[in-house]
Amino acid sequence: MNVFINGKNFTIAHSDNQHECVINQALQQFLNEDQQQTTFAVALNSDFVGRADYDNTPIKDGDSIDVLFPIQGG
Amino acid sequence: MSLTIYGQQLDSRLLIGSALYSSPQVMKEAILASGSQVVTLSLKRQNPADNSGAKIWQYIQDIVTQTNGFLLPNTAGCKNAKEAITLARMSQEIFNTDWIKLEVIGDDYNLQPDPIELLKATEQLISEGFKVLPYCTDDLVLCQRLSDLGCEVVMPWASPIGTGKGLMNPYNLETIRLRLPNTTLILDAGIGKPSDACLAMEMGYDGVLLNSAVALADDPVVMAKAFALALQAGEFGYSGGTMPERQTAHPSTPTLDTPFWHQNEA
Repeated sequence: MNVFINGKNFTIAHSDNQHECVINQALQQFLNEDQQQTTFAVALNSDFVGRADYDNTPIKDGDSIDVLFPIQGG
Repeated sequence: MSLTIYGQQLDSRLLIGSALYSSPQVMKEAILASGSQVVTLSLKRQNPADNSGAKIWQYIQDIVTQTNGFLLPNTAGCKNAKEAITLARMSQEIFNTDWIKLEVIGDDYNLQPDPIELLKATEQLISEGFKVLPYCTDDLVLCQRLSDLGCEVVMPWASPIGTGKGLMNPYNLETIRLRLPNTTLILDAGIGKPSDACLAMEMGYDGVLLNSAVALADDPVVMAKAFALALQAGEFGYSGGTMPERQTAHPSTPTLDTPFWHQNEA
């Protein structure tokens, strides 16, 4: 399955008999181990997805996922 | 020198940004020197190979712990209400705060806030329980509308972000202060010099939010101290009550029995 994560094309590996992916699969493959332990927040197609919903929010081909981290700001 | 934001009492009237410093260590030293207890920050995309954001985040957390302070996430870069609302919700989850510095930019040239989208986003976020601190222009009616929607704090600009031009339109800012006596007013953006901050406080503003003026100074730590003192001077200047301005000169030294002068006129 191909999605966009932070504006770049990203292929999510999944088993042949898996009909649906959820957002948590994308995050686990996109983020390194350190980042999975850090603070981040997610939006799917510009809508916020709360942490509690990562395992039950389906994604489909062409979806756009934003994974945001704290940075300095004014 | 205390400021109340949405019921939270703070020891300093200065709110300070965490961007543009030459290093995280300089940022930390400058913010601590400023005495501010409110630090603004943001959210951005970051790819797995780049872990620099984690270091900054750790520094900011250290500062907030050390100052017994608060995080004020912003929605910088958002250009419509929908983007700003999404970013506010993401910030709320990450930072565990319902405070949001709401920015919706309407023009890329001067980063001027979009008043229509700002009002839309404010209304929605307040309905969700957010404590909105809207960044807006120095337009009286816009500030009134934001206050009417439930913003206890309104933050008109002094001048466009990062320009350091100071208070472009003191008349507008004074009028907003006069017309919204019960709203917490924080002057946000465009501050360049400590005297700008002092002037805002002399007008009766409740606080100042700045970033570039400290971060881009030759010595940010010294400049942060200068701003802390300027705010204090301005606050005392306001509470002390300035003398009325007069059109003609009045001698300050008593003129009765003045020696020497005028003796040839008798």
